Amino acid sequence: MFALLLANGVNSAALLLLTALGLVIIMGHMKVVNLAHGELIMVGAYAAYYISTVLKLPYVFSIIGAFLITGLLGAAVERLVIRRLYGKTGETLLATYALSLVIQQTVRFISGPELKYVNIPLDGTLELGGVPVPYYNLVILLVAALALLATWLLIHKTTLGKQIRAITENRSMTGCLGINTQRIDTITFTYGTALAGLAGAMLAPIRTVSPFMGVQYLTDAFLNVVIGGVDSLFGTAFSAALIGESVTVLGGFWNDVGAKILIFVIIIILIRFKPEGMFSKEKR
Amino acid sequence: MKQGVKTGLALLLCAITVFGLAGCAQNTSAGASDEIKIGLIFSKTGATAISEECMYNAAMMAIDEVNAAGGVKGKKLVPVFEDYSTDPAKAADKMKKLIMQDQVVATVGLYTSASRVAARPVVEQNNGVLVYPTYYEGEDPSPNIIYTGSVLNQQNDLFVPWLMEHVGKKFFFVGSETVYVSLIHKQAVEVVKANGGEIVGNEIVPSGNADFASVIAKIKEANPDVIYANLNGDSAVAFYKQYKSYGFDPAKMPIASTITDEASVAAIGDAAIGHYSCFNYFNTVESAANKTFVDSYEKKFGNRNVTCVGEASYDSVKLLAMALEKAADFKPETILAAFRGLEMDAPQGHIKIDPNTRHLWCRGRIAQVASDLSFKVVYESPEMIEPKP
Amino acid sequence: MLRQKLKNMPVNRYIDMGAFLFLAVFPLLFTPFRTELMAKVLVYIIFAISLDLLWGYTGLMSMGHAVLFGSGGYIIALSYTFLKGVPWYMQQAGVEKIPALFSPLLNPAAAFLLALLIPGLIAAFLGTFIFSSRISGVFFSLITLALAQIFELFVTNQHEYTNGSNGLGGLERSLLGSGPLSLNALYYILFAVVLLVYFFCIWLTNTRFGTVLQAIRENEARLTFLGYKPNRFKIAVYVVSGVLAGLAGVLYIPTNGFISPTEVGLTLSTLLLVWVAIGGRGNLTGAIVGTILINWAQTLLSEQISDYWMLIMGIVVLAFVFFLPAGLIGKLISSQYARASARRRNAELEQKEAC
Repeated sequence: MFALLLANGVNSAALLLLTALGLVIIMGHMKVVNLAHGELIMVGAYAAYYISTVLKLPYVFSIIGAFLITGLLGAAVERLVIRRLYGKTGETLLATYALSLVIQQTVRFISGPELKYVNIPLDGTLELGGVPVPYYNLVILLVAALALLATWLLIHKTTLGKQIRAITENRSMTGCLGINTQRIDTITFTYGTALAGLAGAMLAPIRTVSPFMGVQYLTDAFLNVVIGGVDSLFGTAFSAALIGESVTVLGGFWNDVGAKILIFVIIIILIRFKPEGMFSKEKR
Repeated sequence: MKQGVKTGLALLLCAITVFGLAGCAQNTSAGASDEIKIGLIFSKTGATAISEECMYNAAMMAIDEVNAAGGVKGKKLVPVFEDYSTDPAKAADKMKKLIMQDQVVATVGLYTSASRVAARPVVEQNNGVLVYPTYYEGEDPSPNIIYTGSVLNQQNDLFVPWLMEHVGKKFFFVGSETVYVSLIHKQAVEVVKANGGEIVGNEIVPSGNADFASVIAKIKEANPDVIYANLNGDSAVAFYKQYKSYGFDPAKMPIASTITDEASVAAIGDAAIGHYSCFNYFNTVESAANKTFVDSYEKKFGNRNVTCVGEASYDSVKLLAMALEKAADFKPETILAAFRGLEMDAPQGHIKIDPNTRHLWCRGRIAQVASDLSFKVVYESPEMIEPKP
Repeated sequence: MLRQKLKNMPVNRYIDMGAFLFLAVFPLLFTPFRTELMAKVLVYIIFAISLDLLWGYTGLMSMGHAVLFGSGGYIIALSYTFLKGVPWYMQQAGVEKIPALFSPLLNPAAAFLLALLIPGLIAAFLGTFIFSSRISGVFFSLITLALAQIFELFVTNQHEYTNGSNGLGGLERSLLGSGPLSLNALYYILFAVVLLVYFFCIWLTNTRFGTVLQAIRENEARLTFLGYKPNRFKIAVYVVSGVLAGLAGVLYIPTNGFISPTEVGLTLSTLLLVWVAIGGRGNLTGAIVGTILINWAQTLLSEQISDYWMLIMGIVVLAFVFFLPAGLIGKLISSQYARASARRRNAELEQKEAC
């Protein structure tokens, strides 16, 4: 049983990482707290639903489609809302909260409040030493790892990434150097939201798709990012692994809810003593 | 100073005008005299919306049929619908609104036991009438509620012995955290033990929970013959799907449920094949009345997935119409009295409202999901069973 | 002296007076159904004022204030439930008699005190824990957000004691063991409490304590340089705010007759933020006006266009963030100042020209 729990924990961790990856980009590099992140995940899930169930295309298209569609939405959000509120965290919190409501209700109107179900694209399990591992779980793990790698490459090995990091360090100076900070901001935010859409697409087959599905992922993703270090990709991945495994294993031996509560409390205590997270490069 | 006082007074006047107008607007909607207002309260959003959608549809269809046949005493039935989103607090609120503000003569609806428990004091204190179509765990009957769903002795008491006889004696219980489930499990435990069976696990998950990884791990450890899973709509879909994705075999370890109905099966898809459910009604019941019923439902709503609670909602409206026709006036006491002993030939067969307990006499049935995703009835009780709430 | 004071009162105090007048005569003008709703709004006003102290005056945006509200509420709800004997849901779980831990709840007075004390203690504990580190505003909001979710989960999970997501219902409309109260009696008791809380907060915000709070909101670093220790003040205001929120929770029980985990978590916490944000924070009037306006708009509009209500609210809040960040009353006050300072400038100009 322990082995099964460990295997499931990897799955939870991978999902958590996917949901938090977009957030670490937006929070870490743009210093924007986006309370609508959960809703963006939801939009990705719906995009996947429409592409796979209504248009009946293979799931790969759903994943790509969700990524692009949510990214587009993110770009619109950045230009219309986020851009005007840089530096004003209180206002951003309120505005993104209101945004989450608007997105939620709009999706509800377009698709109806009933739950939608997406079929698992890859059925069947692999027996790994007596532990059944669904194929789809492996896909999730793969996608999460790829996303992490892609993001890391983007931030650390491309010119765009260098520009993003420069803006994080010192926005005004970077602007003085002739770099179009506004454009980079839009691109960064778009990438972050596209990642959220990707997470939604991966989640859709194993969770029910409803306009209200986003909220539960918000807190988890935030806590994950904060404890890992708001600007550290490695930190986020590490804490995702840690949190995912702990909650699953503990849940298996005790009970799910109790495990979640305990882990939450531990995280909060950790944040209190290390507000910059475990792997932050920034010193406060 | 004058300016400030003016502002304050102006605000006060505005407020009074607005509310006064709103108040007036409300009173005019007290209903025209050739209409009878009936409240409908179901979840259109929330964890149980999937199960309640059919209830709403069937109830509306029944109202249309009653009106097409001339209405009640020549007056048309007009529905007033409220969505309680699987939230007991909202259920109580909306119930209050229906009774006090919309002044409906009676309400048909509610699904979750929690919502019924929350709304019951409201219905009693405000002297309303509620017709509750959902099968449930039984309770001390409320003087203001008519129960048109089956109770445990018509469901559980049939199911568990049949399962022990035909499938196996090792049971693993999984359930949503609701009143209904805890009672059903408690009773089932007794029946299992009385027949020499064994209970190898008992997992309760929060309503709406969708992650069953740890539960499935425990099931694998315990290796039961039957998984007695009573999960609400949303959770059930996730559970059946995850059961399949972990490679379990329904022929060896089927899931048996008193909640999974046609609507859930449609959502679960292939993962539901081979599992059992127990209700007093399935859409595949063979009778002329049922065929007409399901055909009309399909014509109106595009699918044949009429569920047990959907059929019960249909019956409830029809029974309510009969009671209203029989009643001398529309006072709550009269309506409630008119329900006693009422009988009807419903799509599920002949049913009767017990004059003393206000519960339903009905048959019990067990069915298995076939490969075409329809329910195949494998057992039917020979006659109506008396309800023992 | 009084006339001078009245003349210098900011315009929003007049709105307060108008609102209180309206509230005072409300039951006489409207149906019991509406009065019942307004009674709930009164409870929410107390809740909103408690947040205004924390957010409006001190600048601490708590996204989990319903935790304190719900703690007070659940304690009283449990007390009322236990007074009727061992509740059915506990018997289900095999508990035959009321656990010793809950025995103080059988005494209405003790329960009342506990329901005010516990939220205060939670606030004190949280405050000490959070504010003594270097956690900045945004993190405080995020932590309170997480807390709201945890608390909702916790209450739902402890269903042997709290009946979980089914909530506690059938609660009596009584206070401190008074026996059943009539609707109007309850209404006026609530109204009296609202007035008490209001005047208490007016007094508090006009003391030096209140000024320090606003200084924390404006520029905490400078305050530290002046020799103050902002943490102590933050903890203090959090405790006061917590006790007031707990009081609102206590009063919620007889008014609503029902409480469930949804009322102690994120949903209510964020709704509260909306009321205060739209009304205007930092002046108490905004909390009152915002709460009344939005709750009533919700009731009235949801009868016509229930489906669109949440969408409209989201759009309205968004619009407010861009165009009216100070809320309705905030805008009113700032335009009053603008006019007053314009008048002063004109007067000065005229004086100069006269010379």
